[in-house]
Amino acid sequence: MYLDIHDLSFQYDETRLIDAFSCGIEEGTITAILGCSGSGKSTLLRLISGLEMPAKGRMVLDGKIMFDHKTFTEAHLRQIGLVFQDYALFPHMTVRKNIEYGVRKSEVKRKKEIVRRLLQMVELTEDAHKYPSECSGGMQQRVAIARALANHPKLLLLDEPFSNLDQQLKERMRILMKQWFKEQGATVILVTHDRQDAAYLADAIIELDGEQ
Amino acid sequence: MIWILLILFVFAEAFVQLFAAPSELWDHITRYVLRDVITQTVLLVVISSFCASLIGFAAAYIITVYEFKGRKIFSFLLYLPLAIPPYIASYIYSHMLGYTGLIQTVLRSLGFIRVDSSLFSYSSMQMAVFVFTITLYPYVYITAKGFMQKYLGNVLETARTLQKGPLQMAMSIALPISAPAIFAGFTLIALEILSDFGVVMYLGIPAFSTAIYRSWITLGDFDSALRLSAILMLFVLAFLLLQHQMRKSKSMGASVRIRPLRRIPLKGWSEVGIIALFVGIIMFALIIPVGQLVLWFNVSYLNIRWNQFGQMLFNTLTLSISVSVMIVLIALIIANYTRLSRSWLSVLSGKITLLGYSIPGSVVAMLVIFFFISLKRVIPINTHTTLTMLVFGLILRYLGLGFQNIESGMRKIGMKFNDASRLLGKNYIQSLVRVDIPMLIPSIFAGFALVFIDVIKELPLTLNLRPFNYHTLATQVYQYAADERVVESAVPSLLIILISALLLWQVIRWITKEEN
Amino acid sequence: MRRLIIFVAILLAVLAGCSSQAQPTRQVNVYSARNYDVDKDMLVEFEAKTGIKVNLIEGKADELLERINREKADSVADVFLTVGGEHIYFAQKNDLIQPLNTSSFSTWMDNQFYGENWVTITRRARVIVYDKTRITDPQIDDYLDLTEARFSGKLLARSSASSYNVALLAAMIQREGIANATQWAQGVVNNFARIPTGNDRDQAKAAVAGIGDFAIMNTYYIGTMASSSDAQEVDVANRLGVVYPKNTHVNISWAAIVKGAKNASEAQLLIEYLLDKQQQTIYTQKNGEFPARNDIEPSELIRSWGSFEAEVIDYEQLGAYIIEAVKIFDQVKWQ
Repeated sequence: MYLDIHDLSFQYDETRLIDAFSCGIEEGTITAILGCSGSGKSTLLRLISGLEMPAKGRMVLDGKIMFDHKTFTEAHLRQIGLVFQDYALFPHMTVRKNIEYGVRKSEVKRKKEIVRRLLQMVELTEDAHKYPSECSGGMQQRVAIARALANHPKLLLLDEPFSNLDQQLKERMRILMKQWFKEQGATVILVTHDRQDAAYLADAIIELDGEQ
Repeated sequence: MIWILLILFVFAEAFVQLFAAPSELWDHITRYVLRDVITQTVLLVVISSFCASLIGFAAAYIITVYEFKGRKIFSFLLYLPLAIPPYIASYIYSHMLGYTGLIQTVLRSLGFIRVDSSLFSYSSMQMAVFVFTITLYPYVYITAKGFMQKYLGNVLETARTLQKGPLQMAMSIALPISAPAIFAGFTLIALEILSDFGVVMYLGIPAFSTAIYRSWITLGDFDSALRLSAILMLFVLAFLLLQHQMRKSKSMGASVRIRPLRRIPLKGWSEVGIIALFVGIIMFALIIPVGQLVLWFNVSYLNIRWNQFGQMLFNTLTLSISVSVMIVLIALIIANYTRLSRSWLSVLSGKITLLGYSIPGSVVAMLVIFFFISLKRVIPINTHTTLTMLVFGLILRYLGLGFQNIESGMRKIGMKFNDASRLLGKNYIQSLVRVDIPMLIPSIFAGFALVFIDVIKELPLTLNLRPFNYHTLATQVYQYAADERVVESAVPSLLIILISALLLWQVIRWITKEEN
Repeated sequence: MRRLIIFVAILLAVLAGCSSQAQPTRQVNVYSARNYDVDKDMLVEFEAKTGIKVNLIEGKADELLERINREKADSVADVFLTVGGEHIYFAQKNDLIQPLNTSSFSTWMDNQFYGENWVTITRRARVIVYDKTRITDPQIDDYLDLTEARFSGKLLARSSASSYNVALLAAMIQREGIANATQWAQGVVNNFARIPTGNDRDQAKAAVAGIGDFAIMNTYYIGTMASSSDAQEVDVANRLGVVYPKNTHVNISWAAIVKGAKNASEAQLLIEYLLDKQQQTIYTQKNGEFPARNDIEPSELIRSWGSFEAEVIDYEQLGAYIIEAVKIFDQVKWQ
């Protein structure tokens, strides 16, 4: 398995917790985690990305241990990308700077080229000089995805990618995203509450029970 | 963290007094002085802070929501009264209304030979409330305006579609939404009044700070003064923690999309009315006091000692700038710590930074001196000829002011952007420097400006902790004002106001540039 | 950010540079509560004349004393210069000042105005003033007269937080006893024209404005008002009539050598310099004070108020009555 999560547990407040979550994911696939609100989907992503520390469990990505009972790899060393539900674009940087920020140090020399391609892919070449506050919700999402892809993540996480888009835009983005991810060969996990979105995009679906 | 410990060490001397056996005078103080002092202080602090907050909020709201002639100029001028030291304002207004003041003089010269002075009489309390209101409202104006500009956009547009009237919109929507920001400003005002000594002393109001001073200076009982200070600090701390608790239970979702607000143009009489209102505020808070100072400047600049004025100016600037810069840096470090850890310890340490701001400066000065004297027993340091003591004391006193600003800015940003940055392969520190701090720049500048303006007019610490032959504009103001030569104090006072105004102007330009 | 750090570093370097200047060989360190331009000019002149560098810290008397007290033997202060005779008690009780050479003083100074460890530099009187254009004969001989019913609603005084008022009452306790002093303070409060507010000058202005008829104030402020930059204040000063009551309370400004002073001989030189005829003349001519010396004529303005008989008190003990004085003020509600 490319990503292997075993027995992951976490308690994030008095009443809600993630108990013994396990799953395995192949490289280059898109997996949807389906669950209603409050089922801990976002927290699961934060745990996988390293923003939260699990109580117990073990996770291996591409042969490297991300966490188990004695190791914990810091978020910035995991090479896992996350597109937040509200995108978290840096408001003081332009679209181009936001994407540039994602480029790795080792690829600094190819920075221009990487950014140019990504801008082209997400069709934002014209809008590269704009600030996030001047962009529509759909544009912001594309910037966020491009920024995450610029970092060549081993694993890309998407948190409710369609919650802020209207129906029309959502259908378009679904198609585009699938196309981009396959083109880049990215391994993707997305969480959503919409069965339709999951069915369209994902190669595999994991259902998360409600109030666990 | 080390800094918090240092603060506690310095204040320890005061808290120790709480447990020491009370002196014989303490009995007298509690019997005759304390009750009066507490009621008067509470009255003064509550009424003044309320009036100042009301003006600050109203001004911020109108400036943010409406478009009218002169809006930009007003929005800048409204900051400036912050640069006028309250005690100078109290001299000015008492003087103006008094027998030799402008009003009665003009009336007399118009032929009213016996002007009835009782027409211009006022109680000390009224004067104090007035003075604090006009000099301190900018604290709320600043905090409320910054907040509303960011978070009022969406909500107000919704409210307008619901056909709410203008007053209703302000009171039932803008007020509750910006309550945390207003409260932050309110707290600063209240603390500033609590620690004020000049105004209450001059006007003869038995406030907490005069009681502290009196038990120390006149009764020679410094221990009782420390005990009073400790009581005051405990109250302040309790108040701050209570406020924190309230804010926590009411905290809003921080994910409001920032949308610039489209201002409502005002026309006809409503525009005239609003302009008149602002002209009125600016008139009383800025033009009259500054105008009076200019008149005094004009008659007195030949009669004062100009030696070393350049040196004084240099000292004033270097001191204010370096202290403000250091406070901003320390505040950043502590704010970052409180952001990372949500334990009660980190909350408490945030509040502790405000303690130095709540008690009279002269008590802080003494505590700093004692601290250094005890330090000297451990490590041989020179406590006289260096600025270390003064800089340390000023940071101790004003750290809370800078911290409040930077911390609230940091809280608004939250961890989200830092998280996003770390997931792009940057470590925490890199993320802090490249993402959080640039986003914080408006808060940092605002914190810097507030601290600067307070340090430049600060008196008791500078007076007590400065090295030999070290004079600043503020000590020069003191020299004349303490000698009841208010007219002569106009020269350094005006310079202080001028420098503060220039700085504010520059900082506001930077902030607007950053925000766009 | 980087520029900011460099900037801070440079600033710190500059500040450090400023504070580490080489010290000259002869110097004297002065803690002064006399924050007047006149005094500063004198110190500059002293430097020029003697070549002794004067290092000055100005502040409030009590704060400076508290500092010397806490620093004790470590204090770098050589000369302590202040206004207010009540501080002598504190300084002596805590052993903060040391003997100075007083041998030459007796020829031109009353012996109540110096002691083994201290000497008066200048004097001011706490008097009763009124508007000459309104009142021709004030009919006041004594502070005690102020409690009479005919002054009901006519008296003006500043708050009891003022050290001048505290010293006035302390002196009264010393001379007349606690009971009489309490009675006096109560009587004055009963006759107040308004709740005490403002400073000494404001009391004089209120008397001229007719808010009350008689104001308790310090002669020093009449003098400085007369030379004010503000023409209106000069006018007020010119309209003031001065009553010297029996046993006029004299407020002294004094100097002492700090215990363990490292530059004691320079300190003695400086104090003698301030008592020099030339300086004494400047004090009375330019700063509205009475000279400490008998052989110097007070300024013309001061002479115009006539002469007075100063109260005879023990200045070294004045401070011992301060606490009682404050207690009385609190009891009679003199705010």
